[in-house]
Amino acid sequence: MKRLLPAPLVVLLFLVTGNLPLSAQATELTYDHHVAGDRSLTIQLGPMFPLAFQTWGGKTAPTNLTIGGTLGVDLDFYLNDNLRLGAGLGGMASTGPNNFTLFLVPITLRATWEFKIYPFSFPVGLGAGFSFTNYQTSTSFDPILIPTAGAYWNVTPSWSFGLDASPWILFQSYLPGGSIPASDSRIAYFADVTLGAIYHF
Amino acid sequence: MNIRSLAALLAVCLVAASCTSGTSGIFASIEREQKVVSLGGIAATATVTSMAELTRGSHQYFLTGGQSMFTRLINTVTWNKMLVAGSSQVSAVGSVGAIGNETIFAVASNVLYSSTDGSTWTAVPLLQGDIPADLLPVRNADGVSNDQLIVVTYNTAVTGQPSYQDVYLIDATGTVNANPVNLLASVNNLISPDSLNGLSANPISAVYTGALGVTGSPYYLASQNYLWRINSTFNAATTITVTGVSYGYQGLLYLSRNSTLYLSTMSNAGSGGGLYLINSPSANTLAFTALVTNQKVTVNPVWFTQFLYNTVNNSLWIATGSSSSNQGNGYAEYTLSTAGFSTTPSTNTDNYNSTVLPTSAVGVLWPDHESANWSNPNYFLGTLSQGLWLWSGTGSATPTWTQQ
Repeated sequence: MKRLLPAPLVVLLFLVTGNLPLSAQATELTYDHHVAGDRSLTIQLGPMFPLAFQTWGGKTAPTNLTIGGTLGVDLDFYLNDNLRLGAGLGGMASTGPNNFTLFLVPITLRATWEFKIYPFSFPVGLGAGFSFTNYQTSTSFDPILIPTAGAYWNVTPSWSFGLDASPWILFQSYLPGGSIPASDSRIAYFADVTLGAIYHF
Repeated sequence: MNIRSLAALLAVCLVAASCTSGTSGIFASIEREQKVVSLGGIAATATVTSMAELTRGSHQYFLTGGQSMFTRLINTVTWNKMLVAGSSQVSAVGSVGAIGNETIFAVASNVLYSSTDGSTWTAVPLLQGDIPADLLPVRNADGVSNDQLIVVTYNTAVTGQPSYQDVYLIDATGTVNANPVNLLASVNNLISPDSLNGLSANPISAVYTGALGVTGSPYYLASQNYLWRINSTFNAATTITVTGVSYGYQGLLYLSRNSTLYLSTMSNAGSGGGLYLINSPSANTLAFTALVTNQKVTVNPVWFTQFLYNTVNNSLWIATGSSSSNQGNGYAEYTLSTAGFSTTPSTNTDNYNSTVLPTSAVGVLWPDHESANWSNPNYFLGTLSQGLWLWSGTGSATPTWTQQ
């Protein structure tokens, strides 16, 4: 990450600090700007809200699941100051009516666009990939979409802290004639609200 | 699985559908899952020994286990411990009659009681000295109904020790026959009464070979060591001499579609249990034919081996038992055709080692006759030490059992 001093800030700095000692004039005011190759590591933690299960015919039903928790890590690479691409590994746990635990472990490729109003940034992105889903003795491998919107305060050039909200949309579809009836096909909707920390390096 | 196979699997998943291990979709099964309710901390771990339904007024289930009886209304989850005529020691329960017109019977503290509303209980008089011990559902043709009951009693008058002696028939109107059949008399010429103590002569299953609501056909009763035929008027018993299978009789089922009597055995001359059939039973000496030789059925021990003809899947369920070689079993399922049952468990529906049932679960199966939906009834599975399980009969060809 490069640290540049924009021209207006330099002028303002000169006007304000013109009569100050040299040591004070060395105070560094920075402006975050990302260039291709910069990286960010995002860690997210928060509650997960099971929303609904939906058949492919459109009929929805409650999930029978409790509010769970989620933990995620994303590693992204900036293509320019606003766009970053990367991959994410997440985990979510929630319990069913009889305290069996549903585990989701999504692995996604992610594209994120950051809207910036200094010192804040507002990442909006979409992750797509697959999730390992486990409940009792069954394990499944399901396509998943995770759109994300967030708000972060860039506290230092290296650290940003904020919030994200992400629906998780899993597609569990079964073809006719298989060992699992096609009527068991479902689209599962979850949503998380997470506290996030981004480390820029 | 090598890397190429894994890659191929992932590729298929990418373009086609979810890959799931198991027999049902994960989200769909969670959606269907019902909360397990502990039956007061007792019935959840009890050996469920009998069950009945009562639809007069409101639809209630009754079950017994651990010398206690529990009841709940249909579509509710809370079981309540119930007293019968002030007694908490309830050892058996059963019901007779048509939908909306049943009478429920219970054995409590060595007395037989009847009730039409589930709350007011009336003692049923039996012959002097007869102590009720058990209630057996009498499955009618094709095993889909048990609108009759047999009351098994014992009497200490003969030897001073409990000896099973009389059996009473309770017909569909709730009437208890005044003159029970003396099983002891029917075997007096074969064996001394003393050896009839205990389980060896205790009838544990009963079947009626007639059509639903039609009289005129004989009944069969099985105990560990004896097989009886009782005439259509239920006043005389004959001990059936069998060849090929000498003891260990457990479950009985009669199918009218092929006029065949099926018998399961717990053991036979040390060779393990099995499933046998008698085509068109009529003679006093019957030759059993081994129908199933699958090792899964012939392992020991088999306890409470009983049948249920599942009208949903046209299949036969045999509640088996835990065994020394396979601890994860529950019941075996066989597909029914016009020629009878297949001789091997159904490929996709063999629940003998299913993970849906707890280890060492073993069952007595009851259909929910009174759910007013004959094509899609509930099925109950009583277990040893694992309480009661229910399958709603929907959702999948393979039953999804939920502990109640």
